[in-house]
Amino acid sequence: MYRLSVGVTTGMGFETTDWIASHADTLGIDAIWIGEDIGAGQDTSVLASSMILRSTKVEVGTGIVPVTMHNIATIARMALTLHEISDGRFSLGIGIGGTQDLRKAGVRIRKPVTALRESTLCLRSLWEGQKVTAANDLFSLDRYSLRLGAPVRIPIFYGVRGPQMLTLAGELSDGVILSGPFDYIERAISIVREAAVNTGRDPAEVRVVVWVPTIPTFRGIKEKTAKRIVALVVADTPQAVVEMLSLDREKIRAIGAEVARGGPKSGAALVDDEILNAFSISGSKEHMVDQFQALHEIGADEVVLGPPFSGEWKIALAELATELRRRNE
Amino acid sequence: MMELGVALNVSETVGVTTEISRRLEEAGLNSLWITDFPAARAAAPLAGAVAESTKECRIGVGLLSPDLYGADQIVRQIQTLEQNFGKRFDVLLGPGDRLALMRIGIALEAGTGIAGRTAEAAIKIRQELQESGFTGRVLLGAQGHRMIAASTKLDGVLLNYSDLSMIRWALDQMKDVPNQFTLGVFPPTWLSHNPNFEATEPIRRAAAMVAVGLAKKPREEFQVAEHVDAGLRARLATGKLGEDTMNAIGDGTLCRFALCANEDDLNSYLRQLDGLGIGLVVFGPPLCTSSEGLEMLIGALGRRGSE
Repeated sequence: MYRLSVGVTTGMGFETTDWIASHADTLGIDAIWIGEDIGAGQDTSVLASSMILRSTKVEVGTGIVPVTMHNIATIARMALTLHEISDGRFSLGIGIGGTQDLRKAGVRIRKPVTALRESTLCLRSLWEGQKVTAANDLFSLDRYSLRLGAPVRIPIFYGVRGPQMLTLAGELSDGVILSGPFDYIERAISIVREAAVNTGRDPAEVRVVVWVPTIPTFRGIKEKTAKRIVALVVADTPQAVVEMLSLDREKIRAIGAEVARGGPKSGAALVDDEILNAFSISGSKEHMVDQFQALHEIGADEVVLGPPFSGEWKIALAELATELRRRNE
Repeated sequence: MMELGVALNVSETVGVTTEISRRLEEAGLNSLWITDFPAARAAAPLAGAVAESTKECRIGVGLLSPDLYGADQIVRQIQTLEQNFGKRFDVLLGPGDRLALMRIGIALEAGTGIAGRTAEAAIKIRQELQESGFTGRVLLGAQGHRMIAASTKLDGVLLNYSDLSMIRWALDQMKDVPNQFTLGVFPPTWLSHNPNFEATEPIRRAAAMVAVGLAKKPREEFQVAEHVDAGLRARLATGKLGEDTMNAIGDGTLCRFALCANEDDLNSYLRQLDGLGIGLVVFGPPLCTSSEGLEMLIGALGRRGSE
């Protein structure tokens, strides 16, 4: 049995995010993950606050907040606030940020693995109530403390791709949010688990969440929308991940170049069925749930639905959740 | 009628803040102000929780520092609050506590045009919010003459002063105050049936924080430069704002930077502010950390309401 969650991004409109938050408990999903579209749309912390307050049971997490774009003290304070608002239903997903987004924002990180490791250690020290002094490429703290009455424990998830980052996730994180084709996901899970074992951890301590575009074509979503999303995902796939795939690398490179040149709409023209099926889950509800089951069998503990949300997406979400519950009974 | 607000979020948990919010609104308070850094809880998501636990009072977010968040993120925070929780929000902007920001890697070096940069960011934030249909107020937290003068390009000002002569000086710095402009003050506040400033460490500390942030010109104008400079030296030497700083400034000077009052003193103070044309009083920390003070305010609000 695996968990089912819904993923939203800050670039989505209020009506969509509000509907999902308000219906999350009745849909029977386990969690909502909020992806930050850097510099666009709703504010991540306020959106998370709203989704927590509009639901009562589901977990709410960021998936992810880029540590490259926010002051580390701000991330620590935001997470503490959401942890308390949610009475422990909140998880902080962090990462470095998408290649395209960071390039647009003019951010360049020399040692991303070190940056994520140090960010994680810093956040945990702050939540333990420690006074932290640290200086690196990403942040600088001088005897900074949250002045907490008691330590808090907030789960940290990583949104990461490359082998070194996956190893770090196995060593340090409470969970990992993966995205990519099946063969990549299978390989990524084994890297995370191996790293956990090598660090002396129980690999089951690291929850594996798989978030790939889910495209319920059985409820009217247009294929061109799906291809646009997939083009963006392909373009954001790091070289280290591409090298782990059995797909035609030239085709992937061409899509990335086209997205960089003319945007996702332009890149979508190069997305064929092979790429579409490798980077997304679509088709009938039965087929989609079969695919979720296949992900579970290769090690996923949780599968994230969406985006894109178009067509009759509300009905699609309800039907997929119902189909999954029916099979789990 | 004068608008009264309380600043919340010093070290209280979210649960405590939302419970206080609910009680203060029921007592008739017009607005709640959610402070931000260096508080451990972030103002924007906390403001959402406060909105959810109250009905219609206005909710001020900040002081938010554009140097910490960037103007774009502040705009998105306020827009997202309005979309998700209704049109009840105001925003307070300012540079923030320079030494506290330095501890988290934000360097606001003196002489680098902090006031001008903050005012410019505030004007941009207001413009972008208004273009997106924002109906709330954008206020500037101000103490020095440059910030006070710049605030007239916004919807209002919260003067970081308590002493009436200092407030008069601040008002003199403002020319051509626009219509509908909110003239407000933000005194560190301690309310008690038996107020004793010298024996109450939290209000002395809050007063010292304001005093050491005082710009050079008002420091000289108010003839407190010698004491404040001594406090600044003590703070730099110890690396923190503690007893050394407070003692160096001295209680005679410190008490001018805070309101430490019983109910009669409070009512008298409010009448005098009213006479100066002040339309908004936000009772600043540490009031929100004092049960006695909050109960006293709730009682006073009830009596004001029935007058």
